[in-house]
Order: sequence, then structure tokens, then C-alpha cells
Amino acid sequence: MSKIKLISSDNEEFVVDQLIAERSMLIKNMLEDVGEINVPIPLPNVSSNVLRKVLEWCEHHKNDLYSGTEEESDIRLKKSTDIDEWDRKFMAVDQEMLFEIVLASNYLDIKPLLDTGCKTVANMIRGKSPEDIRKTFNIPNDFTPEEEEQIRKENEWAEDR
Amino acid sequence: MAKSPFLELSYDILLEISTYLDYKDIVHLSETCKSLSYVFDDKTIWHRFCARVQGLTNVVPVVDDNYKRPYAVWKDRGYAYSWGQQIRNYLGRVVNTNQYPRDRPGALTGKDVRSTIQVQVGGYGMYLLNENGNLYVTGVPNNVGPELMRDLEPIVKIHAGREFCLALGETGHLYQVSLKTRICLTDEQNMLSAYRGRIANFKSGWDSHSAYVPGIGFLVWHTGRESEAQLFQPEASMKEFVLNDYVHCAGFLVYTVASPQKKGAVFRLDLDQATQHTLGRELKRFASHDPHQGWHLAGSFETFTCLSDDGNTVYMGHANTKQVDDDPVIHDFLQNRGIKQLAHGDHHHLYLTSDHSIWSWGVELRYCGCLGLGSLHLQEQTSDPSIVSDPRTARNIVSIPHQIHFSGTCYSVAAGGWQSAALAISESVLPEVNVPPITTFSIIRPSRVPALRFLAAPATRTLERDG
Repeated sequence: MSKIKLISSDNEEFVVDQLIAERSMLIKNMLEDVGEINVPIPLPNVSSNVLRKVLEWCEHHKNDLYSGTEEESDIRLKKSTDIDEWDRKFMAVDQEMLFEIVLASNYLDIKPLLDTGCKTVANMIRGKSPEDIRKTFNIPNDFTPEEEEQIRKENEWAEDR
Repeated sequence: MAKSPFLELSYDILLEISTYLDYKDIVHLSETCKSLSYVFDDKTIWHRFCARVQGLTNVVPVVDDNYKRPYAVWKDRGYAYSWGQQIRNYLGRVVNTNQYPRDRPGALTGKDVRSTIQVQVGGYGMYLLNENGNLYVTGVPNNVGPELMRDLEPIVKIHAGREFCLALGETGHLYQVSLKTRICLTDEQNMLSAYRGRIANFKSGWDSHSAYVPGIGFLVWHTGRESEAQLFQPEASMKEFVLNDYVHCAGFLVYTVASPQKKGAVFRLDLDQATQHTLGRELKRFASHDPHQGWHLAGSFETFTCLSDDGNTVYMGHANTKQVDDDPVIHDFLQNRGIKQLAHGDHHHLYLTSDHSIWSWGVELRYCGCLGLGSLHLQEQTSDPSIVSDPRTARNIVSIPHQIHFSGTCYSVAAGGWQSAALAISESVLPEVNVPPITTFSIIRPSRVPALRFLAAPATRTLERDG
């Protein structure tokens, strides 16, 4: 099995199997463009601790059947929020790391990992009031009391009556 | 306060997260801070919610860039309506002669079906899918309202045939359900297990059902023989074949393709052929005269219709439309009408126009009311030669479309058997239609029970108190 060299933003080198690295469509396309696998691939947007975590996910999912070009069928307008047990444990990290994984999977174009990250974040939001969401994600409330009242009135239709 | 890492996420990622949330969570996110208010009041998000409601997009105009408005109006005033044959509570609502007749559209106002996103009419009842993915069925004996089908995962799409409804779950499983049965067709032990998550379209027919899998073809199975699916590949090379739309009639499929060079072409695939690789036969006379116009298909037991993208051309065919050179039936009354959608029952037909009105024509058996035009056999018919009421066979025959009157903006219609249904934004709905109205004095007969004798007596009389 061929090995690929990846360089994180803080210049740490990672040597990984090509099969694992190619879970990332970005890396797969880079390798196809370059035409050889001996050239180290710089990943300036991903730090070493995040890349390590992403590669752990890729290692575990290396045999999954997934084509990066596969489109979600139009029929599936509502997406399932199920996350399998291993992925749930993998995503049980602090918020900063969770968002870093989401950003990295988006940059590296690893759709299934991005999906898992987005589901995890969605599960942290579901069923919460605006105030609870602010607390969960440390979001400052920059509305004036008048603006807040107006928005609440506009959205009255969405609350249980 | 340190900046929230959540606010560092890009617009695209926030949109992706929103696809896993319901409307209430989106509203709550938009109420947290100004930057998220801009993101989550987004047109893309709210259009996606509207797109889940069969036919809702473009019905309610967006006003002042308030992209939530169409969805908000639907949440507030969206109802499913039903009319037609009412044996065994098929209509899923109270029916009585005065307030809630069966031969006019009546709203289903039960809380659970207030958020109906899809309605399908089968031969023996209706199926309603709500926005939470819960599937309800009418026609339950001793239960006026629709009943929840339990033990199903959240459902995203349904299609009803004569006896069954096919339902696609959000995990990609396909179910075949009815009042009494449910089969998961994509279970590991079942015939479609290899195609879980790959089914792009499916239809329930008269006595058989089908699913279309891109790159594979049509899988067809008969009721009671669910383990014996036959594969039909409508083209020699399935790689280039892209299905646009199809209908499943009794013993045959009619389909159109998405490839530009065949955009206006219509094909028929007979299901009684011995070979599985029977190619679809092009019905040449059904080809669209305008290369830019594709077809939307509708069908029932023996009838199918091709509706052009602009809604101004309608070709009809039937079970005998088999040969390459068979002509379509072209009714003048269906041309240049701006039709949005067609629906067919066993012998009655509905269409929805771009001004959101519903029109119907065809046959009502035993005065069942499926045309939604009121009690035609009781009306004075002399002025309208297109309506014939035959007391000998108890049939109403309406030969040209008539508008169904009800106060609402309709955005979707459905028909099957001898029933009809619609989804509409209501102008005024009678309160709690599913609750029987208080019985009026005039219809209570005198009784030996003193209290009921009093109710039947003249209003001036008073009831003496018990000692």
C-alpha cells in the first residue's frame, strides 16, 4: 500500500496509507493533479491536533462504501440525524475541537465526516430555546430589547399554540 | 466575552447544519443574535421547508423579503380536504348532510394532520404524511379521524395505489403498508435489500407496485408476491438512462426521460412480458411539439395523462394505447388552461390550475360525491347538458370540467377509487370539523325518556326541577 505525506499548518508531518488519505476528496484530487505520490501535501488550514483526529476517523472508515460525487437523492428532503456509536464517541470532544473537525472536514472535502459533525451540532441545538442556544455556544445577545420583542412577535406562529 | 466558535462557522456549514433541524429550531437560532438572524432568515432554508409540502412553493407570495411567510401561512392555515365515498370513514372526517357534506371538500382539522405535507388517495382510504414524518390512514372502522400508523420510522415520501401505500423512510427503507399490514421491502431478508437508500422513485398500482433505481431499472412486484421482484430495464444501456417521471397503471408503466434529446418523448413498458429486459416502446404521437417542454405524468387504473411543463397541453392515453402510432386523446377543454397538476380516480378526474382552483369531471358511482360538485342528482339539470344524472344506475356523469367551489387557495390535489383530496390554504375553516356538531332539536324524535321528551317539545315549555 502506497504511503502519502501530509503537512499540517504547524509543519507536523503525517505519513498515512493512500487509501486512508483519499477519504479526502481534496487530497484525492491533488494526487491526481500532481500525478505522483512522493510529493508532500501541505494542508495550511488544518492544525496537527485536528488532522490527527481527522485521520483517526478516516482510518476507522477506510472500508466504507462512499463515492464523494454521490448526490443525496432529491426524495430525501428530510435528513436522518442518526449517528452510529463509534462516531458518537469520536465526536464527544470539547466544542472548539468539534468545530475544528467540522471546518477541517469541509476544507478537506470529507462529506461523511462533515455530515456527522453537522448532525452532532444539530443535536446540540434541537429543542432548545434561544437563550439555551446562547448558553450552549457562548453567543452574545446583541439585540436591543425592542428588536428582541419585534422578532419574537414575528415568530409567534412557530411556537406551540 | 470571547467570540463563540459557533459564529466562526461558514455560511455553507451553517446551512448544512440547518438541514438536520426543524422549523422551530431554525426560528430559535435566528433569535439568538443578529448575525445568525441574517443566516437563518435565509431564502434557501425556508424554500426547503416549503418544498417539503407537496405543491406549496410559489402559492403564497414572499412579501418584504420575509422568506418565512409562506411557511408561516401554511402552518397557520394549511389543511387537508377530502370528499367522495364515505363508507368505513374513508374521508377521515365527520360527514353530515348540512354542515359537512361528503360531496363538497371538507377540512380535516385534527391536530396531528394539521401539518400534512403529502396526501395520497388509495382505493380504500387516504394516507396523510405530516411534517414530522408520521403517516396517518383513514378508513379505520369506528374511528372518524385518520389513525397514526405506528412502528414506522419517520417517512419522507408516500404513494398510494388501490390497496397499499408505499412509504420511503428517512433511512432509505421502503415500506408497503395498509390498514392491516406493513412490510419493510428493504430489510436484509427482503427482495429490495440491495437497493436501500438508492430508490429514486416508487409507485403503488392496482395489483402491483414498482420502484425505480437509477442505473438499474424498474423493480416490479405483485401484491402477495413481494419476494418475487422482476427487473425491467427500459434501455439497453442503463448508464445513459435518466428517468424524469413515471406512472404505474394496471399492467404497464408510462415514463418520460430527462435526456435533452428525448425530453418530450413518452414511453410505455408492458409488465406482462416474459423477458425482464423488454425495452420501453416510444409512443411517437405523444411526443411534445415544443422541444423545450417536458411532460409531467399522472395516472390511475387504466388512464394516464401527459401534462406539459407550461400546463397548456394535455394528452390522455389508456390501457389500449399500446402501439407506436396510437394517437393520444386530446380534449379541447384541457388545452391552454394553465394546469398545474392532474389526478385520476377510478372514473373521475381532477385538475388544479395556476390560479389555485380545482376542476373535476368524470363519473360518480352511487352519487358518492367524488367530483366535489355537490348533490348533482338533486340539482336542476336542465340548464347544463354536460351533467347527466341517471337514477337507474345511481350515477352522475359530468362530461366537461366544472369548478369545485370552496374558500381556500389549493396547491395540491389527489384522487383514487371514489374519493378525492386536496391540500389548501384555508380562508375559513369550520371549527374542529372532526368533532360531531351538537345535535339540533329538530332531528331528535320524541322519546319515553323525560329529558328527551322535553327536547322534542315546543320551546316554550319549561322543565320542572326534580324534587
